[in-house]
Amino acid sequence: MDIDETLVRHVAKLARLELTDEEVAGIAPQLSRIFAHVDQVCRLEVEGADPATQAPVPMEGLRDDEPGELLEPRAILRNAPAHDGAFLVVPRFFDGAEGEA
Amino acid sequence: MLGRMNPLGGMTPFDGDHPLDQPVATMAARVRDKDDALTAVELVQASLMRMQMLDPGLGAFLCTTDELALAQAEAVDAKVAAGEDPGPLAGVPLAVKDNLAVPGAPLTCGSKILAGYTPPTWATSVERAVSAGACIVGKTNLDEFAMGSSTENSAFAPSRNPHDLDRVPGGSSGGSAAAVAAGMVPLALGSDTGGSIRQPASLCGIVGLKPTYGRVSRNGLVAFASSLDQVGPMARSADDARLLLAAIEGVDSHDATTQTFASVAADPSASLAGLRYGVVQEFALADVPGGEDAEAAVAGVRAVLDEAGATGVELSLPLVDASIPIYYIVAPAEASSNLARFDGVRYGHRTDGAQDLESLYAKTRDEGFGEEVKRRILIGTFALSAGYADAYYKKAMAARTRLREQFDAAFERCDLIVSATTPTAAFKIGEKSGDPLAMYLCDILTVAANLAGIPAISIPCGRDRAGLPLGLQLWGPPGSEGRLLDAAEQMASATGLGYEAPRASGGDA
Repeated sequence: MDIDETLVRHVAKLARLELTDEEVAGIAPQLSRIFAHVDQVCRLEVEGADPATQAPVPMEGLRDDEPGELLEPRAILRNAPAHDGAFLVVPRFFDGAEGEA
Repeated sequence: MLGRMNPLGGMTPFDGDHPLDQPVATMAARVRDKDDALTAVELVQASLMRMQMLDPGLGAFLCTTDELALAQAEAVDAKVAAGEDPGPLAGVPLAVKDNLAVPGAPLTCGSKILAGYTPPTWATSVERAVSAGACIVGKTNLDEFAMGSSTENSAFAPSRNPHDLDRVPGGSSGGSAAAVAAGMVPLALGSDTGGSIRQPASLCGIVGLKPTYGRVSRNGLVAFASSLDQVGPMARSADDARLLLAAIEGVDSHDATTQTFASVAADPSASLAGLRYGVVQEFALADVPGGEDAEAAVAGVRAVLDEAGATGVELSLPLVDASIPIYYIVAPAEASSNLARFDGVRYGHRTDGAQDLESLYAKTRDEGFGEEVKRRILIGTFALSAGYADAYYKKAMAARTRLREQFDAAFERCDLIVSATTPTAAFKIGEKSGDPLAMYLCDILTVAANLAGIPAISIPCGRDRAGLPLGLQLWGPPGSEGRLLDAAEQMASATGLGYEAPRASGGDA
């Protein structure tokens, strides 16, 4: 699998990573080399094998459907980069949007 | 100032007689004994003193939690004074890998993206260790988000191997391994997603155990690859590791994948005589560059096992050869999903340069994550993307099921499998940091246990020709940790190989 800069930019966008041009140029050949190795996976013959995780959650592992301990809102807000005392604050969804959010 | 080739010579209060250098059961028993003068506070103070002396040269710790440790130690001593039992780890200083939550202490995961974050709750595994009497002395360095095999991917600084300061301690639990190997703490917690407990244990000459998937709660462990991650003990001996594992294991309502497995308690009737040990053809190191010393070390142990009446069984597990490719699809795929939560909204770093919400996410993540983390997010996002998910992710997961079946069949024919833990001893800092694939191949002998969900332990196995520690790995079927620990203890007695304090080799000591 050859991974070029266009593909790296596409995947980075999916992953919400704003890479610099320098990072894109550096990562593309590294990923190509890594995928040349991991491409073996595509050639494995594993017909009929269950692709589900090997360890399904046992029913006895599930707790009763009851409210658990809750964290104080203050304990959450203390770690937030920006908040107004009650809510987390983030920029507008769209750049330059008119009017109040 | 620590000497370059003589990192601990002349500096360490190591005399072997200090209570901190005794087996964990011995030091805890003394603390619990009201008539013994040794206190938890003394043990913790000794540990903190060693950290102060040794850690500037090793970089094992990202933070020290003196106040917490001393408060916990005082609570232990108060219980003893009141005639209560503080637990089997009474007063034992414990280092905690910095991807496990300790309230009040910063949680960094070795990343800039968690700058300023202090978790509000305990990781279940850590809380249980504390309930058993352990005292948390600090948080240890790691590769960022546990992605790496050397701690060089830490956003802060690499840790150093106490046996040679120019070399890596392994990773990603490299700080925990270095802390135990240098004698700063007798016990540490690590996490293992593809070898991150066993590989650094091997490189630092200590014991490290990855439990069966589901034995130890992952609650409060920052998720890397949720179907592979396990928390486990790092220690100087298998019996010390057993005590920590017994304290932290068990069902937890906060982690639905936890289960009850067979007890890890020592079986007094266990014996090497009659033991069937498997030797997997695909783990042979004959063709691996530099693998001769590790291969010879395993051969040496096999000879001792045969002498003791054990029988070797030759096995082939063909999918082991594909375990690195399978792992480097599954683990990054899960990581790309797990690390989506680091977006600059609720905690940690937030970019100054956002114009809108989307650029807040994308710029925060570019600024906050290091190179290796970005690489893995991209690998995983690609492997899960439209048009590729069937060829990569689904195929890798199916192969994983087959690999587990191959292990199940192997354990019909043997009680445990022996192999080396790593192809070579510790490498030099910088030696592999420019070559991601070479770094990934460090885990070639460890990832299969995570993919199969089975337990494996690395124990000291002598040294290579350069005098650096090598590790032997024992693999068992699900829930067989007790048997692996028993075998590890018996092998250590039979071979005479075990933990050795870093050598004070020079004349300047």
